[in-house]
Amino acid sequence: MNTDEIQPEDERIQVKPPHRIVGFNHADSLLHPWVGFAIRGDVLRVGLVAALFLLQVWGAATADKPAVSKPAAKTFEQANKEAVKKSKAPVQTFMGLKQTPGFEYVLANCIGCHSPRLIAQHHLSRKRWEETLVTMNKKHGLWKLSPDMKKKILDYLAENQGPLGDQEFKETPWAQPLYRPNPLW
Amino acid sequence: MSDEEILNGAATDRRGFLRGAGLAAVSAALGAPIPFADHFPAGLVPVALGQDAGVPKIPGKDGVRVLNDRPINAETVVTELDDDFTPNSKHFVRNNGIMPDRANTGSLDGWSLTIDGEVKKSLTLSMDDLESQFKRHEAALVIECGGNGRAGYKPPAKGNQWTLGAVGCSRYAGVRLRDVLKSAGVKDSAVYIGYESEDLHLSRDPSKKPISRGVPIEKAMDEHTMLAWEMNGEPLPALHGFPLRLICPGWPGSTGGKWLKRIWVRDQVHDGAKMTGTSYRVPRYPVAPGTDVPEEDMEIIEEMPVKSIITRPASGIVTKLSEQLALRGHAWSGSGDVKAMHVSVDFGQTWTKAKLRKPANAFAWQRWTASVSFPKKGYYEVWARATDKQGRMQPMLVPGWNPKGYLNNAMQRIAVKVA
Repeated sequence: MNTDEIQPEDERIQVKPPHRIVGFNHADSLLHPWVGFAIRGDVLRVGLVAALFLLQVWGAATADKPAVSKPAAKTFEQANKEAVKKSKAPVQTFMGLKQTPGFEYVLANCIGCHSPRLIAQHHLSRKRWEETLVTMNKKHGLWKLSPDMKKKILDYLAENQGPLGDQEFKETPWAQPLYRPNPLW
Repeated sequence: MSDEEILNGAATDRRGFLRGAGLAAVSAALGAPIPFADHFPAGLVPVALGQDAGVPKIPGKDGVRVLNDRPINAETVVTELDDDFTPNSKHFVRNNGIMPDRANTGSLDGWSLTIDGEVKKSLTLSMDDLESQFKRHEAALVIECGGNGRAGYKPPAKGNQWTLGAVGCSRYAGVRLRDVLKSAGVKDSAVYIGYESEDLHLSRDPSKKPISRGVPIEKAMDEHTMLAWEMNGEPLPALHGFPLRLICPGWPGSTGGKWLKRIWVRDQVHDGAKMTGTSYRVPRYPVAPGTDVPEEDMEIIEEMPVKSIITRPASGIVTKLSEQLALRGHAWSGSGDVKAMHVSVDFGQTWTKAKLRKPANAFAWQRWTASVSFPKKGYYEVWARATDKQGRMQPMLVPGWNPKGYLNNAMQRIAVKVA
């Protein structure tokens, strides 16, 4: 039996980060930082993660203040929206999903079973996304969503994961064939 | 949780964990309450955790592009498919659920294969039984995902957006399924087989199965359909179904269950997970792209169409006018073999016959090679087209749109600049 192929050690997903975050060089745990403290109780890591989390929530402008001194007038949702709005940097992605308003609802409801990458691969109309939520509920164990939550999720998906148009073609590097499979579409 | 558990899908605990203890854990670690904790949506992953960490790698895999990490889906970069036989490290992975622990531990403790249903005598076979009671069978076989090429469909179809690389041709060893079925004695009432496997549904709900498909009894009794425990001379790797998988050559890869534990001979078309609805089905008649097709008008995909890939050179090559450009790749078909292979450098106006090697055995892919020259400097595309023994060719356009984006066997094209 070839142990190279079946040892647990060999069957782990590793992460090759394109960048590192200052002060947080546990790059290999960025993909799933919850994982670290969920089982191992890595206090240092949890601390770093929590601090980063608070910094991001309160926005770059207040990042140098002690995070806990900020009064709590806003919901997380509002804070997140504002942070995204303020940021001049390109929208960050998390496992392929844009961190635009509403992304938190997708994470909260959809990634328990499958990876965000499964969502990020799809570019569907609102109608197809709605069908997908129905399928997930009927067949794959997604809990019943309130109409409000369903709308929030669909708003996000329709806005960020809608069908790709000509943009996709324009952004195709020349290394791909330049002629379209069917110029009429 | 370890990385290994992520790969294995155990991160599903995340749902419960986040809903319950997530925020409390963050607060506790911080030693201070989170002021707006009451407004924190249940199950939220804090934005700071949302740093994209790049594309995950699967150790033991090389030259693959990961489409999804839970469940694991990875396709091979087309230029990495150049080997005559695809090494284990480069074979694509299409998992539907969470891999069973057995696959990671490599243990055969408590494992057996059950053959039951419409048989005269139900069998429970250990790996030793399989190896000792039946004649060993070896073959190089193409396994291709039914959704390979899905990314080409517009409007886009649901499912993993495979491009060219959800295909591989590795060497397998095991036994013919028909020898095992014969030993159990197939009843006249047998219509179909359905496989059951040890993998878990992504929700970890034991009442759900991630996938349980099969083939008609005629295909199950075909001499090429096999139960394999070796891949390229090694025990079946965890990702590929340790300890045993089914392979139904020429049919969608999903007809060959991995982590096999049961072959259920049915007196009806098998109705397991991903046999019904729109899964692995296409409309009975051609439809306009984007059409809503009623489920009753969808039929099960059986034989896969003729197809080929260009493994050398990579698209985007710059070559000199004075030089011949050597091309090569593989061709295969769901019906067993490919009759001819052609290439064109003038957008399909003229075609040059490529050299086509005989397959190692039925349902192995065939190496093709060609050499082309270009009349003047400029932008060209090389198109490659296989023809099967019944005369059916790969289409230039993406063929019949279907709701789930199966069976795209359009010709591969590469871009060439002649300077």
